[in-house]
Amino acid sequence: MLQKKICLLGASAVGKTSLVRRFVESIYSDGYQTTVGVKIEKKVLNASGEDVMLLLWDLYGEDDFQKLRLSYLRGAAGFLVVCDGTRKDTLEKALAVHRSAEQEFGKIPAMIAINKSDLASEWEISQETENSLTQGGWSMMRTSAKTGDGVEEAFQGLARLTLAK
Amino acid sequence: MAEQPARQVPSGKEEDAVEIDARALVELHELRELLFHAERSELLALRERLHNPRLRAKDVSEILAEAIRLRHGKGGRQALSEALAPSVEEALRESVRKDPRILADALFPSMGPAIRRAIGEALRSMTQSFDLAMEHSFSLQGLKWRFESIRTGRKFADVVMLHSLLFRVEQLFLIHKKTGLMLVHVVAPFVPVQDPDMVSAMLTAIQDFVRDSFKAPAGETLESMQVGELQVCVEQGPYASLAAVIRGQAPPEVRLRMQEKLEEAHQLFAQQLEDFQGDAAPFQELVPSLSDCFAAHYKEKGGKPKPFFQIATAVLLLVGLLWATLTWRENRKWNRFATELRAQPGILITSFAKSGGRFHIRGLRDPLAVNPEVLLLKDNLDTNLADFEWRQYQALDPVLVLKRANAILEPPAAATLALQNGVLYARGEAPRRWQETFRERAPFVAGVKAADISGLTNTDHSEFSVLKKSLETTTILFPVGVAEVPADRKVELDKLAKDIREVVARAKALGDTVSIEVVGHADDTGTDAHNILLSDRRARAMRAELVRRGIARNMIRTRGAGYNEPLRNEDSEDERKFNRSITLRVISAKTQ
Repeated sequence: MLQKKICLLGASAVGKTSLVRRFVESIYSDGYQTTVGVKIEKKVLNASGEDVMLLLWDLYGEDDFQKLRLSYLRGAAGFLVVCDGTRKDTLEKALAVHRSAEQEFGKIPAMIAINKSDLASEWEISQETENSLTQGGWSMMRTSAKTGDGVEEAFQGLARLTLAK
Repeated sequence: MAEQPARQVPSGKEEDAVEIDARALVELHELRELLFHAERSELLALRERLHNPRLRAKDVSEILAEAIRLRHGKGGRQALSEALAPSVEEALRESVRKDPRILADALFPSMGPAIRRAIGEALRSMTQSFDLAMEHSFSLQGLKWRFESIRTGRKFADVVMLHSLLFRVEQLFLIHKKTGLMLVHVVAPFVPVQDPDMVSAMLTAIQDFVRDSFKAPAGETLESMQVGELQVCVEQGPYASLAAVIRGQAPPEVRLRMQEKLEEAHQLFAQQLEDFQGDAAPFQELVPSLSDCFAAHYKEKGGKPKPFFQIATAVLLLVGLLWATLTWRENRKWNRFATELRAQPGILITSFAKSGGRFHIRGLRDPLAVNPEVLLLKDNLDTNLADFEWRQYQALDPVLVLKRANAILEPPAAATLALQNGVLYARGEAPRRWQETFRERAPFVAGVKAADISGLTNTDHSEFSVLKKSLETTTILFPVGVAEVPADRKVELDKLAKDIREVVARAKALGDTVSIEVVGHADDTGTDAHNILLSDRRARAMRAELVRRGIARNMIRTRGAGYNEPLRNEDSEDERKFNRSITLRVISAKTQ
C-alpha cells in the first residue's frame, strides 16, 4: 500500500487536532503535541481507486510560545493548511506558515481546510477571499470537526492531489 | 557504379534509342544477376522472414531468453517486471482456475520448508523458555522468580527468560529518512507491538526534535534511547535509517550487524530509496535478511545449584503443596456447607467470608429454620471455626409456615395441619374448643391467609362419655365399720378431683351442666338403719375430701345406699369388701 506523509499546518486553536481525531486511529496521547510539538496519527483511505495510508503529522500550532519546527515538514507529500473560518487572521497565519514551508521545501501539494463551518453566524472569511484563493490555484474545503462535514472529503482531496503529482 | 555501363551507351536516332534502352535493360538485368545473384536471394529470404509472422515468431523465440537476461543485467529490472507483471498475474490466475493442483504442486517444495521453518522457530522458542523454566524451578532464585511471576501476573517461563536474557533484538524498523515512512518492520516471535507505521514516524519526529532542540551539527543524530530494560538503537544511512528495539544490553557487534544490514539495503535498493514515493512493497525482500538479527543471547549457566538448596526447596514445595491441597479441600467442604445452608428454607446468607482461618457467616434466620450447627456437625465441620451472626425474621416458606402453625396452635394428637396455597387445613378429630381457637388464631399466623376446618370431626362427645364412664366405675373401698376415707387413697382422690373438673369442663363445652352424686355403700352386716347411716357418712366424708381438692360443694350431692345397692353378692369376704365403699355418678342437667 502506498504511504504518504501529510502535515497539518495552521495557527493554534484552529481545530487541527479535532479535525484529525474525527477520523483516525491513534496510539499516542495529545500530550505529545505540547512536548515534542507533533503527534502522529494514521488513516487508510481510498483515493483515485487506490488504497493510501496517510501518516498525519499533526503539528503544534505556531503561537507566541512555540515556533513551528520546520524540520518536521521534511519529506511531506502534502500539506493540509487549516484555519478557523470564524477568525480571519488564522487564514493569514496559516498561509504565512505555508509560505515559509514552501520556501524551505519547494512546491508540495496542499489543500486549505477552513474549519468550524458549523459556526456560520460567526463566519469572518468572505466569499471574495475564498474566490481569490481558488483563482490563485488553491484547493479548498470547508470543514467542521464538530459535525464531521467535509473532513473526510478534505483528506480525500489532499490524498488525490498527492497521487496526481 | 553498377549503372555506369548503361550511361556509356552512345546515343543515335530515336528508334535506335528505344532499342538500345531495351537492350540496356536486358544487359542491366544480366549484369545484376552476375553481380548480386547471391545477395538478391538473401534479400528475398530476409523479406520473407520480415513479413511472415510464423518465421518472425521463430526468430524471436530463439533470442527471447537471452534478451530478457540482457535487459536484467542492464538494470532495467523494474521496467521489465512492470511490463510482465499483468500477464504473469493473469497467467497464474488462469492456471489456478484451470487446475489449482499444478501451482500447488509447483509451490509445494518452497512453501513446505518455509512453513516447517516457521513452526520450528515457534517450537524452538517455546522449548527454550520451557527448558529455562525447568532449570530454574527448584532453585532459590527460581522461587524468587516464581513469586515475581505471581506478583506481576506474567508467565513463569517469561519471567525466567527476561532474567536470564543477556539481550535480544525484538523489533527492527527500516525507515525512509526524509519522510519518516516505514519501509520494513520485522518483529521477533511473541513480542507485542504497537502500530509500526506510527512508531516509525514518531521515531523520526523524535530524532528531528532532539536535533533541533540541541542544535546538533549536521550529520549528528540521536543514536540510542534507553527505557528501562529496552534500548532503541538507530543507525543512519544516506536515505534510510535502521532502528532496533533491543531488550537488555546489546554489545557493539549488534551495531556492526545493523550497519551491515543498512548497507545491504542501500546497495540493493539505491534507486528505490532515492526516488521513494511511498510504495514500500519492494523493500519486503529485505525481511529474511533482517530477521537474521533476532537471535536471543542468554547468560552462561552458573555452577551447579547446591543439592541442599534443591532438597530444601523441594521439601518446602511439597509441604506447600500439601498445605494448599488440604486448604483447598477444607474450603471446598465449607463451600458445600454454604450451598447447603443457602438451600434451607428460612435461612438467607448475606455474607460468607473466611478470615484468619475462621468462617464468618451472616444473614437472616427464621427461629424455626434448621439449626446451622446441626448441619455443620452433619458435614463433619468444626463448629468452633464458624461465627454465625443471624438477624431473626419470619420466613414464608410453606414448610416453615406449617411448622410455625403447629408451634402456635398445638393441634391435638388426632388432628393434623396442612398448608396449601396459603390456606391452613385442619384434618382429623379435635375438641370444639380447640376448633374455635384454631379458627380465631390461625389467620394470624404469618404466612397463613385463611383457615379451613371442614375436614375436622368433633371429639368432645366421645371424650366426655369416656371420662364419665371412667368416673362412674371408680370405687373407693373402706375398712369395716369405718366412715373416714383411708389416708392411703390420696393419689387416687387427686386423680378423681382432676377427672371431675375435666368432665365438668367437657360438659360445658357441649353446652351441658353436670353434677356429681357420691353414693355411699355398706355390707350386709349390721342393721339396715346402721348401714344407711354408715354409708351416708362415707359419702359425706368423700365429698369433704373432694371439696378440699377444689370441687365446689354445691356440685356434689351425697346419698347413703346402705346395703340396698350392693356392688357384689357377698358370697365371700373378698367380695363383701367391695360393698364397703363409695361410687360416683355423673348427672347431666340435660338428661335429668
